[in-house]
Order: sequence, then C-alpha cells, then structure tokens
Amino acid sequence: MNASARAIAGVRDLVKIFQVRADKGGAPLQLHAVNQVGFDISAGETLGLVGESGSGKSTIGRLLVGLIPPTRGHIELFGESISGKDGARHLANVRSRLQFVFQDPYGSLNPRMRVADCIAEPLDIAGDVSRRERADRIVELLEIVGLPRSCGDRYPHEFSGGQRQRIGIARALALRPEFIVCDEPVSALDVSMQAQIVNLLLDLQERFGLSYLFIAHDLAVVRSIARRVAVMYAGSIVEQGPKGVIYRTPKHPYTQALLDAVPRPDPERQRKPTLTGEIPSILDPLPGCAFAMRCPLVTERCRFERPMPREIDGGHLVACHLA
Amino acid sequence: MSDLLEIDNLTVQFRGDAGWITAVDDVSLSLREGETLGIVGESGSGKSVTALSILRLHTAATTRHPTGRIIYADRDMLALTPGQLRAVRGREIAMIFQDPMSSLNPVLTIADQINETLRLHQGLDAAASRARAIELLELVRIPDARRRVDEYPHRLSGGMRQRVMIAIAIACRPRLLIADEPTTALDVTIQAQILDLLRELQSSLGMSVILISHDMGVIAEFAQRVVVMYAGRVVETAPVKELFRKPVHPYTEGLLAAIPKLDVDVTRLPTIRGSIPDPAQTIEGCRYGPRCPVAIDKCLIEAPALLPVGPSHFARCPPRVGAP
Repeated sequence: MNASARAIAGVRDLVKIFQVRADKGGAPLQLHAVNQVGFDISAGETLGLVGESGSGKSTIGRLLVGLIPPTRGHIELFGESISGKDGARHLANVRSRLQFVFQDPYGSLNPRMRVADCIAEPLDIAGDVSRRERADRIVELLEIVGLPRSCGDRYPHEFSGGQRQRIGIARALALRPEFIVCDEPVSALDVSMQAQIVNLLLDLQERFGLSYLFIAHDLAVVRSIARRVAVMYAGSIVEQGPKGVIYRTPKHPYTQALLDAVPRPDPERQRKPTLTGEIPSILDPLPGCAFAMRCPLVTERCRFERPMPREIDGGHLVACHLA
Repeated sequence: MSDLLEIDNLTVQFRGDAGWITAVDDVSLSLREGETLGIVGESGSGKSVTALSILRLHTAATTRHPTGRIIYADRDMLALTPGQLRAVRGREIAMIFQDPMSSLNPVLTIADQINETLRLHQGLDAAASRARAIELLELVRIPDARRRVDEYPHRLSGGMRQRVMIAIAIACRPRLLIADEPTTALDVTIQAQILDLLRELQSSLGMSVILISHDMGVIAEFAQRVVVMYAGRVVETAPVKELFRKPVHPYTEGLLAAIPKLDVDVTRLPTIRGSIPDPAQTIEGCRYGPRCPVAIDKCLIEAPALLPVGPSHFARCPPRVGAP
C-alpha cells in the first residue's frame, strides 16, 4: 500500500502559452494550449488523459517529460521539481527513469538502423554497458515485448504497425524506466492490433510496476487501461476522478456529451442529440467556461466566471458551476 | 425493391515489386435503392479498393483492369467509355473521402469548387451556380454560408471541410453516395454531427449510401446491412442487427470481441492472434485460417465459399456454415 501511494508525477497550476504569428510581421498571438492544469500520478497507476484534438493533452505529455518548458506552474517528478530554479539539474537526475512512447513508432525509429540497434540506442547513449550486456539486454527486451529474437537483425520497415509499436515499447523499456508517457500509442493501429498492444502495456505494468500517463482520444481504449481518468477541453481539465465514476456517473456536461457521442457497436442504441458547434479557439480564450458556447445547461455565470475544479467526492474533481 | 448496384466476382490487382498483388479477390455484393450498406474491415481488407472500383478511380498505370462485373442501374461500369464514366461520376454516383483537405483544391474558394460540379453537370451560369452553392452550404449547415462561400479551404475546420465535401457530393442529387471513412479524421463530437447530417440528407434526397469504415460503432449506428471484409475477401454479410447479435464468422466474432468497451469495465481484451497477412503473400485456403481459433484442416487447403446462414445472411466458414 505504501508503494502505491508514492508520488511519481505531480502537476500544479500548469500553464503553457505558445507564441504564434498568424501573418508575417504581424503581432504575435498567444495560444493557450494548457490552462491551469493539475493532477497527480502515483506509483504503479495509470492516469488516462482524454480529449479531442487541440485540447492540450499531448502538450501536457511533452511538458511532463521536460521536452518543452512550462510558461507557469509546477511539475514534480519523483519528488523533484523540474520546473523551478534547479529544474534542469533535477530533470537530468530523473531523465533515465522516464520514457515516452509515441503514436507513430515508424516516425521515431531510424529506418537505417537495425531493430537491435534501435532498441539498444538508449543504452548506448547512457553508456557504460559491455557488448555482452548490450546483446543480452536486446534479446531480453525483444522477449519482453513478444517479438522473436530474429527480429533484431531486420529493419523497421519490414514490420507491421503493431510490431513497430512493440519495437517502440522495447526501446522505451531499455533503461528500466519507472514512468512512461504514452501518447496515443494505439490510435494508428487496427482494432485487432490495438487489443494486443493494450494488453502488452497492462502486462508490463504488472511485471515492472510501471506508471503510465496514457494520452488518447479514444474513450473506450482509455477505459480498458486507466485507473483514473482526466477529461480535457480547450486546454483545461474539466473533470477527473476514478475511472468507474467518470464513465458511470460523469458530472461535467462535456464529459457526458463526449461519452454520448461515441458510436457503440450496438445497432439497437439510440444516440442522444449531438452537441452543436465546434471546439472554441484557444488563440484568444473568452472569459468564463471554455465549454459555455456548446453547453446545453449554460447559465449567465458560466459566460463570465471560469469554473475551477472542485472535489465533489473522494478524488472526483469537476470544473463546472452546476456540478 | 430492385438492386441499384450489383458487384459480381470483382477482382482487382495492383502491380507489386514481385508481380501482381490481389487487393480484392472475388468480391460480390449488392445494394438496393435507398439502402445503406456498411463495408467494414481493417487495413488491407480491400474495402476502399472495392469502392474505388465502382467509379474506376484506380491509377491505370499500376492497376490491372478489374475482372468481374459492376452493374449500376443496368450499366456495366467496367465496360463504360471514359466519356460515359464522366457522366456518371459526380452526377449519379458521388464519393467523399476521409481527408477533405486532400480532396479540396487549396487555391480555389469554396464557391469555385462547388461551381465546378454544377457547371459541368448542370450547365448553370455563374450567378445561378453561386446561388446554388450558398444554398448547398446552408443545406449542410455551414453557418454564415454567404460569407463562407468565398473562403479558402484552409480557413475551415476539419468538420466544416467535410461539410463542404458533402455539399459538393450532393450538388447534383446523386442516386448513390459512397462515403469512404468520412468521419475517421474527425473528433467524436464532430463525427456525431456529420453522421447525423448524412442520415438527414440520405432521407431527404432519397440516396443510397455505401459507408466504408473500420469502426464497428459507426457501422452499427449507420448501416442497415453490413459486409465484413478481410484480406481482400468478403467473409460475412448480414443485416446489421443480426451481424452484431449473432456473428457467424470467427473473424467478425474476434473483431467485435477485441473492441475496447465503453460501457463496462474489462480488464483484459480478447485478442486475435497474429497479424493481418501481407497482401503480396498467397494464402491457400481461408485467408483467416492462420489466425482462426476454429480452423479445421480443410480451411487451410481449400478457399471456402460464401454460404447462406439464414435469409440474407452469408458467411465464408466451413466449420460453422453448412459443411457437408
């Protein structure tokens, strides 16, 4: 129980604003990609981060592993702040304990490197492994992700999407990380491959006590892997809590609408009326709730006062004036 | 009701590095007037290639002329001259694709692109076709159509671009709309809007629709009858309710089981072992045989036939369907 309560990642009031220029020489615009976000991930657990495109979920993943610096706010990894004064040094200390798995493994594998070398690259960079250890570790990693040993001598293009994702996962595991950010790891795969990769990630979690931040747009995939879920909309987390609560009794009108909108493999089901409108621009966010324009329950207050997350039940936070 | 479209024994082959690759192998299916047919399958199943064959949209240089027959409203599409084909494309049969951005010309305004269809097929003059373009944008619920009609595609969101594609597709009131993964690139709340729009247009215009998707949820919601394809062949076809309630082919069954569940907690999903076969590889017998949990010796030797399971329900599986 003690082990599972240990904090792996903690994020408070995280803000990321990108400066973009719409026209050459024009005034820079501020793109509010992440707007005051907070969450925790403890050892051995999976937090699912769901949202539609442009909701800011991938930006959070990149902020969390230090690929981009935050504009404001605090990020802690393994108890060390990577956003403060000594952030860079702290990040260097914990770097080998965290890894990233991308949506398109092909884009992250060097096409001119043999699979064995792709997998061993993190070992080569971290240094300090003998040739013998390196070779043994490659064999071990291939076995762990369910690929035959002979794959090591082949090149990435010879593999299917599902197998490439296994290679990407093997490489992520090379340095024995404790925490992996998975950004849409199964979205590019066919259904029959998706299930294999999700099950592999579950097995690895059990075997090595891994923690995941699992970023995905597919709510059903997230339900099959996460323990807790955070729902994002236009840069903010509108609702987060234990998986069962979010899927069974969602409280935020956006979460409810999102769940209703997913087509189910059930021809008898009648979908509820669809949300109108589209995701608002995050270039110039309006005051008030980002969802107000599309919300079926909107009140006057929602349009000028931004709702902050409130805990309405153990670990269940909702950012809605009406919840 | 009579069949609007009938495909018999269609085979389509592409030039590969080492000879011809059979992308669609002996596919037969039919579509009644006013019906919505769903074609579902994973990558490489041949679902899009089948649909492209109807309008003969394959690259001629790398495709062998398809064999079999595609009969649309008493005409054999495979025998039409290029001129006859042009009269059918966009006027009687229209098509929309997954990525509207690559179907829209980035340097033309929305008005220009809709007008192209209207002038070519309906001979409207500039003023009339502009008025009709605005009317079409309103029909597909693009807000502020009068202003939007003069914008360029990059100014529109993905959902709005797909609405423009739909507006172009319905411009000539086609009898058949082929929608190839029309909502796959869209967010789920926008997907729901586009599916609702397609459904409304279908009933108001009386179109038949072929919907191609990899998503069983979209198929369940939209189609009346479903064709399941695997590795270039039809493995099962049935009315939608029957297919989801009583799938017969082990692939249909496996695919349905492997879908992550949104409404219940499942800790581990059932999987289909192995992976989709390489299209260049020849498989004797059933294409699904090497991955199938119920395969018998016969399945691996002899290609199974599509046999009736019940009224308008067919499957290609000897261990489960009428093996004598």
